[in-house]
Amino acid sequence: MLIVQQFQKRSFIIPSLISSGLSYLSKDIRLADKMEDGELHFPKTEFEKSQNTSRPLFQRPEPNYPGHVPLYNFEKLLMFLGSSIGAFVNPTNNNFIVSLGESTAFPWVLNRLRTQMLNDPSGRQILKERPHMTSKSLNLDELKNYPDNSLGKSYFLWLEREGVSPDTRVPVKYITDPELAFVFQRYRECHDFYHTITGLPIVREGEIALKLFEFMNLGIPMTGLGALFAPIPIKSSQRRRLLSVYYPWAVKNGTICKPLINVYWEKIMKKDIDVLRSELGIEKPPDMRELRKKARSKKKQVA
Amino acid sequence: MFQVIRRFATSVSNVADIVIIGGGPAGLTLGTALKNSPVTKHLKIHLVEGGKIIEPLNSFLETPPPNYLNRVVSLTPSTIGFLDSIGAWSHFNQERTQSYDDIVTYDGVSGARMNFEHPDIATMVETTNIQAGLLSRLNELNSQQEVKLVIQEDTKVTSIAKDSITQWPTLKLSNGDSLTCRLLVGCDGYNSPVRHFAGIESRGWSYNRWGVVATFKFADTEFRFPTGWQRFLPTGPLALLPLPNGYTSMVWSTTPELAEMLLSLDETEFLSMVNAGTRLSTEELSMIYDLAKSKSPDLLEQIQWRLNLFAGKLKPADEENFPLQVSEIVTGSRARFPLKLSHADTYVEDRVALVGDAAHTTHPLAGQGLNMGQEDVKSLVGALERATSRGLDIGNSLALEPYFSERWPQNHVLLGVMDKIHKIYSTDFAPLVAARSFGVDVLNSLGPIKDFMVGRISGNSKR
Amino acid sequence: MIRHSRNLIKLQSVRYASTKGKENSATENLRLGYLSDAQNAYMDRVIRVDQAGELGANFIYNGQYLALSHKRPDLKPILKHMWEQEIHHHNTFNNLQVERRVRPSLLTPLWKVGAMGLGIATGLMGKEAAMACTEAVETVIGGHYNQQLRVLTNQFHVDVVNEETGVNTPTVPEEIKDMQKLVSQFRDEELEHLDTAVEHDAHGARPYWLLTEAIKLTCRGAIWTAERV
Repeated sequence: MLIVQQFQKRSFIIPSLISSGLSYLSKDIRLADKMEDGELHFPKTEFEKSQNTSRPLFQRPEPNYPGHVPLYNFEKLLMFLGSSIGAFVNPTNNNFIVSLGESTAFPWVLNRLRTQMLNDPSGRQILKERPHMTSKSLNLDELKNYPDNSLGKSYFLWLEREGVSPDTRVPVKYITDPELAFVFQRYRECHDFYHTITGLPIVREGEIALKLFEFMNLGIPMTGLGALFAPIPIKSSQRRRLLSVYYPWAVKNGTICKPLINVYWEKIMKKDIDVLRSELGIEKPPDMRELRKKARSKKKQVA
Repeated sequence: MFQVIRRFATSVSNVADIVIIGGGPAGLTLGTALKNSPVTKHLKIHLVEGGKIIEPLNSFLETPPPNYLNRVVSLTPSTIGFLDSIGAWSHFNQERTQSYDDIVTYDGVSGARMNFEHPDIATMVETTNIQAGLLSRLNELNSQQEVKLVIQEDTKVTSIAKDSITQWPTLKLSNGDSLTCRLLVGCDGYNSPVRHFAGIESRGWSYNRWGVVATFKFADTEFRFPTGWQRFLPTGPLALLPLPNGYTSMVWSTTPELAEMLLSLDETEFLSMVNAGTRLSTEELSMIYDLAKSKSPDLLEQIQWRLNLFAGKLKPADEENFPLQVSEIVTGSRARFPLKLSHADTYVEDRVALVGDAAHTTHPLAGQGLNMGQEDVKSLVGALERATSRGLDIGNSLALEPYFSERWPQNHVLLGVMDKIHKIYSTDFAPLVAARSFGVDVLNSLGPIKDFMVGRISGNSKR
Repeated sequence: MIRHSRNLIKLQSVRYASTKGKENSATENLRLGYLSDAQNAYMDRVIRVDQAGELGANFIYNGQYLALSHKRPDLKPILKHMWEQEIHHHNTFNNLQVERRVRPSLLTPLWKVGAMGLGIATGLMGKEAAMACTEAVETVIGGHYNQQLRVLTNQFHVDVVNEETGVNTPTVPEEIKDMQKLVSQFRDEELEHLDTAVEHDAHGARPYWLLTEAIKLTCRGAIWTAERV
């Protein structure tokens, strides 16, 4: 009886459950696991000592090409969220568009583009040679002497009219595979040529129309997002013009024309631009700057 | 003079206990096993083969050809155990066999891989080596026994009919003889005349695929343990199986157009194509196929470009996930054969039994076709032994039926499984690819289940 | 505080073991290192799990003896012999646990009940089932002891610095060598039990594969848990 009274009533189940659950985190268990796996105190051979296999737990993977910044998936998601909001609110800041483009350029999209390039002889040549467009590689000084109505001359005139230069393209940083990064870089660099061949200016309205054209032709998600959301904050008269004139044009031409990613622009600079347009299957849309000037003068008249 | 008399006399029918039609691995194994077994060795057995086999097979063992032949099969440990038990394995040219411990199968679209490791999981042996070893053992048994197995080579069977009185199968041979037997065993391949004679239906379908075979030598860049590789492309699996001394036998099951294209390439292009097939993505491969079909002159350059790009992206640790590149081809080893699935409705009829390809044909993706035939032989010999020791008429369905009931369901399951694997891997539809890759990844990490699969395939499972 | 005193005890035992039977001139100038935290943690784990394991084996044989002794008195000697060896193993590890002040497995009551239950159940299923159970358990234990032996042999070096020359020659201390011998001997005895069980128709059990694989799985799970809890 006395012994029974001396026996203390203690809770047993809950504390032992907790301690057995938490014990997994205990240092002893982790150390003993490491011993079992042969990671500690194991005499290393000379070869193994020369291998530096120990890595800290969270280490960024190696860059695959110069300028590559490997991102984790959650970082890419954050970049997408930030850049999509930023591009909507402030589309003139190039960084947002660039980041939005790279964070939405999923591997399967770029893979599809690369397959398109692989199946075309000129596309294959571009993939093999990996040309980069700079003002030097395009020989801007010679372009002004090219025949009128050639692609080179039109490009030069367009550059002058809009006041831009081919050297301002931001290099691709966040795409993992080097070949797919090149494909995206090529798209960025050819963007000015798409302007030239369609004649669209670099005003907001022009960029939006060109985005839809690119989306129908290339399928890059950023262009689709741009075409969908960018017309929301612009002036209603511009939006009306966009939706009635340029969007139908973009849909029609983007779908039926040949994949523009395969065009080796640098090699066809001397070609007549109208011939090129008919070969590719593009009709020139109404000149946007003219339409805008007319609309402005009409408003002035009315006022 | 003897012959003149014979010509004018009514042809005397030879009578045998068992006539085996077909001198391929199945027929020779059956003959050897029957002669080896103390229960059945007294039976009078004739083996009829349409081609000349004795001289070529004997010379194969005496003066082996310098190059490995392109018909090579993968033998399971169970088959080798059986061949050993009938005393034939020791007669094989062992230096020309290659046993390997590792099989790697990987998905052509997603790269999901499965690794099977087991000591001596399979052994590669040339078909001629098998036949030669069996023939050698048969000659040895014949020299030791009174009742000899008669091999009639270069003799075609012109007709098979039922004898009017006894109902026993009677064959008319191309050399004028006629042969009556108690039991007729058809080991005569897919278009088995014996099966047609017995009126047995064989059901199945053509896979609309051709197996392209060739023998290569791996590039001598690094040491690898002999491994069997199989890449499941959407058009069909590409398998590289190890042979001795760094050689490898390739079986590429692919569509008829691609098979024709592969055979039309010259040797260097073919080598590059095979290297591309083991490494490059399906989009790159379809670009390469289109270039090859249109006979583009820069095919080699384009393949080399993509291979170099691939090699540049490959991390050193991942190099062992792909087979070595092939650098030489054994000239004249390129060939192709059509792939089809077929399964006979029954393996036994009154006084008729079917073994091997006459009973079933399958896709080579798991290397089971010949092994199934060997298991058939083992089972049939067991049934005949039991029948003989009980004094039964061996041609009677009662004696033969245990063979059918033992083998048919097992063969059917195996044929079905291989058919499903072929179908699952014949697509590059993204959701299916994701599902099968997930399944493969899960299965690859479940050791016990893989061991079970290996045990079933190699016939080693504990009963 | 407790860790410090434990290390002291370990250090003393290391030093004591090292000077056992060695010549004085050699040992006077040697400074022996401590076993590291990881090595101590692993030793604790070894003793804990082996104590629990031998307790389990003890109770399994106990249960089998109980279940089979009435129906199969011819098996009594062989079961008794194996049981007694397990009792000896269990006692050895009990002593080691107390000596080194290792926490025993918290789930010991569970192991007692489980092992007894397994012994009785397989005993009631018959001789072949009991032998198959023994075979399964001893197979797992054989592999388990082998793994421990591997670690004890390869990874239990301590720094032994010669005070004069300053040269460090990592050596395995004597007590660890004794531990290796113990584990090796016990492993051999367990494998002997396995052979005995196979001799006595373990493969005749029905359902063989299911029974052995289920018992192996349970044993592995129990070993994993006893190592940690």
